Amino acid sequence: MNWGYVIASWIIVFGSIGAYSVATVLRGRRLSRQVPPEKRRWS
Amino acid sequence: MIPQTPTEVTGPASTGSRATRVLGLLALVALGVLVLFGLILSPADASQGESVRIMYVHVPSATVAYIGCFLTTLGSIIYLWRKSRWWELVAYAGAEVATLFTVITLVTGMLWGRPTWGVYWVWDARLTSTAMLLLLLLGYLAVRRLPADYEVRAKRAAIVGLLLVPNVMIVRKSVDWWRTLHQKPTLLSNGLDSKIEGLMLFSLFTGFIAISLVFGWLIVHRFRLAWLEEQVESEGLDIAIAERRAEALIGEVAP
Amino acid sequence: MIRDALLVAGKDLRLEWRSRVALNQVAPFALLVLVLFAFALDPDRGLLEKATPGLYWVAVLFSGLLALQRSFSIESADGNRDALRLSGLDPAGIFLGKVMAVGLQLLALEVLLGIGVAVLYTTPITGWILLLVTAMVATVAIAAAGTLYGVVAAGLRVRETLLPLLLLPVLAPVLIGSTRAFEAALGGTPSEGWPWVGLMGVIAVLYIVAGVFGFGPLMEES
Repeated sequence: MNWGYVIASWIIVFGSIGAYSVATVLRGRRLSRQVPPEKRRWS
Repeated sequence: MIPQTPTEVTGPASTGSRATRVLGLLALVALGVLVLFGLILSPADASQGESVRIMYVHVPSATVAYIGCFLTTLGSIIYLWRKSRWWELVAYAGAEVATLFTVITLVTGMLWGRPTWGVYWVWDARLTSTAMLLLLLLGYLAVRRLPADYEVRAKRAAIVGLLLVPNVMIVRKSVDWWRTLHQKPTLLSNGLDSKIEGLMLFSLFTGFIAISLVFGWLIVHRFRLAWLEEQVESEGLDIAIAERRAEALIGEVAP
Repeated sequence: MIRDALLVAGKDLRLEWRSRVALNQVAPFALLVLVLFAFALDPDRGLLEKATPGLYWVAVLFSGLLALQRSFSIESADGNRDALRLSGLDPAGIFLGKVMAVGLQLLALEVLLGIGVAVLYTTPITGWILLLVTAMVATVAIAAAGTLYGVVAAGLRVRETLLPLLLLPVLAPVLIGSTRAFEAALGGTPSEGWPWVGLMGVIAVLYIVAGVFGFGPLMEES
């Protein structure tokens, strides 16, 4: 019993973290093209 | 300075770096271990049944959400004090990631409450103050994302961010009193606070490790993204100024 | 600082008195809210009387929000903000002055609403000392937080929508505290109300301190 709630909440946790991560990384890639490399100070 | 689109990219072409790739890999491994222990190996709880498994993600999410709030307030203080743009961006990244984890905390809390209490929502002190925390964070983000100059946004957001943690503490205290003066907190006595041991404790511990790694990875990436956003914005301003200058030089009378 | 504060408070109150907006619009709105509550909750079942403390403070918050919006729309019109900044007044004084002006308007609203609930909801008024102290402390807290967040939102196109979003979650503890304290005063066990007054006092002090130190940087910007 209650497995439905467990699975639902784990899917929501992994899904929302995953979606947010992908959105952040993709937006970072897009913006990186507009910023000259010397202003990106990590390697 | 007239900016050109860089054709030969020497720097990293994304918000990633060697360090974040290692961090991300560790986070993925930890999440795998968490799934293994949290969903498969650990037993069901004597009183809560299977729904105790929600706790392995719920409690760590709540914890890192609070850490994010502390980052926001710390960053805001240092920004107001030292005018450090770096810390201002830390504050922003902290608030946004904290918002994500606050939403996760609320949703998993409600999904835990339905089988445990029979309803999705009770006016429990923790649940209520978490909902208020979400509203406070949304207020900060609303100010930080204002369509205005960086200085204006940053300074006003920093005032809101500075007061974030004090507000959270006051809300927490008042909601605690509000619920406990009139009724005794019996709801949680056979739920969260019952003693847990062995594999269950280890699963919770794994949850803390995994969620903390994810949190760190997200903060670094979100911070770099915010950095890029500010660069692009000031770059855009440079382009506009350069264009105006060019127009003025051609011979039109500058206003 | 205190002299500057009195100067600014006097200026704001004079402006408010001459424009009559508070008198002609905010005060009728406050009474309107009371009447609307009576429509929403059946007055015959005694719900109104039981819920008086909560309804009263919600009415204070909403009509106070209108008064606050008002106090900052004066400031953003005609470049007043720059004039105030160039006036050489102490920013902390300006902040305290605005808090005083807003606080006095809130007090007037609270008196009006108090008479309103006593007459319209036939709530018997008891525990005067607790009621008055609660109202004073809550007013300072609302005025201080409202002024600080009012400045954060001031001069922006989204001001009208931003201020409630920022302010109301922050004032939630004040609403809880003042409502519980009023319940204690009206219900006959005033001793339960005093801890709430203390909590609201903490909020008031926090926001006055934050405003005194934070107002300078906020005024500096172009």
